[in-house]
Amino acid sequence: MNRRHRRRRRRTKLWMLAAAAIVIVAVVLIAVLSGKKSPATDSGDISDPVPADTNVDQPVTPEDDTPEEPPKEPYQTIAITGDQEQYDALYRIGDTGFEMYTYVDGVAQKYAEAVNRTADALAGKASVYVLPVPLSSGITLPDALLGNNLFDDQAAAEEKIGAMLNASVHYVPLNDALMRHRTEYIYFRTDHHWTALGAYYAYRAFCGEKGITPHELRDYTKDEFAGFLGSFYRDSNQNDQMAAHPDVVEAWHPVTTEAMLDFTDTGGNTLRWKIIYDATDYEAGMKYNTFIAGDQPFTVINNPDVTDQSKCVVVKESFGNAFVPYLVDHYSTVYVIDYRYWGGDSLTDFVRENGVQDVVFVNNLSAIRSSYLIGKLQDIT
Amino acid sequence: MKRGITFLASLLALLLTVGCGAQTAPEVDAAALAQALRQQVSFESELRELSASQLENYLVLPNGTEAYSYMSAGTTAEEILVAKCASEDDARTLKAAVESFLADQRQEMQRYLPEEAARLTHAVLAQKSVYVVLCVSADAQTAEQIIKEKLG
Repeated sequence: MNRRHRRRRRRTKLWMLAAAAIVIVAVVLIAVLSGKKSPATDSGDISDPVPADTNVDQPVTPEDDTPEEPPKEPYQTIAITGDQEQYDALYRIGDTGFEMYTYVDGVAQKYAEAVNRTADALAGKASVYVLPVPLSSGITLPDALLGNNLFDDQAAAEEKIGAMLNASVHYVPLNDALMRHRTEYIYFRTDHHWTALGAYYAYRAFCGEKGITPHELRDYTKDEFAGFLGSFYRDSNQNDQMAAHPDVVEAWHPVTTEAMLDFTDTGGNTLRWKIIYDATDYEAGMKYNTFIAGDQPFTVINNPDVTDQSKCVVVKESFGNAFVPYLVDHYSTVYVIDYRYWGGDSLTDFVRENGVQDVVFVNNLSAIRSSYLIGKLQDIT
Repeated sequence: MKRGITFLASLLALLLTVGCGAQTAPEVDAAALAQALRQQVSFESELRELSASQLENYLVLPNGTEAYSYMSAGTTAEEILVAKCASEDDARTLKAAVESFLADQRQEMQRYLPEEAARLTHAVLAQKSVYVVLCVSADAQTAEQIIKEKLG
């Protein structure tokens, strides 16, 4: 009995020694590893919420005099609230719709080819900017669903597209810029578009890349058009929760009050219109058309308050509509080409013939996975 | 043993005959079929012919494919594609690519040009042997008749 007891005590001692050894090894390992930067951080791992404008490749040494940039706040989290339902390519959570998203590499490559071809053809003549716009399902989707089998990782998609672009292309990644504001009203709930506030944050990122100072929101006059029920409302078979809580279209007018917009419609008629049109009386599904007269094949906005003859052309589908008003205060002329409907053959010929300095591609990630739409874009580039 | 070999030889011969039968495809003049669709089917908008490289903007064609295609010069979803592939497998691959293209087109039209989305629901898409034919028009019945007549 005694011998058995002693043997048990000896065994217990051995276990305690082993446990102590493991703890010591773990402490030493943690101390060693915490002194190193993780390889993911060094390479700017796309899952790391480090902003794109942070230069992660710059070696930081203790002797470096420049003060270290304070680490940015982590993104805010979004929880699932409400019942969930799937309709074809739409996923609904309560009163909010999200487009399901799959990254298509072959189409993304064609998109990058179109942009690169444009930049190559215009080298020395015009600068090319690219803003791939994430969908709400990449930004405001509840965290528990981000990256699941219905929603490919849009930050990773953006990263892949950016990596395909030539160095001469001014790439403006938007994922981080929008994730920093993901709990604000930057996407509609009942429609697939971003709001003018989302577009404003993209405009700020564009200004950063171009090296110009953006206007603050308080500089603008704002209009609001309530009662918007967009494409998600229709695709969810007019869901009751969405009907009970329609969107509000916010629209910020350019600072200038002198700019004039002329658009050419699909019938070839040219009409003068307002940059932000009063959408109060528009049908519930049409209120996004407040921006630049909606989806027109070709639009020209002249701003007499900018007299330096600066010109840009925005190549867009509908996400570009909410973005264009912010550019008006920075150029003498803003041309807008909706590549889906434009009758012209060659974007580069247009740029050369009109003395355009900046070409700005504003294209959403859903378009960048569509063989039909990117085929249309390729047709003109 | 001898009887067994004879049986196997007969079976092999039969299989080869059946196989050859399956390989026999109706010889179709793809260009003529595309022309017939363009001329006999009613289209609302003017159609523009796509060059081979323009068609590749929309679809990845398997190597050795001979294709003729037209798209609306306006904003309608009207289009024609007649493709003769190098093999039946290639034709199946191309048909799947066309289906995916149509799904992308449908999503776009549903959002922005709903009347065109309705037209796309009547798209006629056929694959027989090495041929893939697509025709999007409100006049789907005529398109179907022509395709059936030519491809059998």
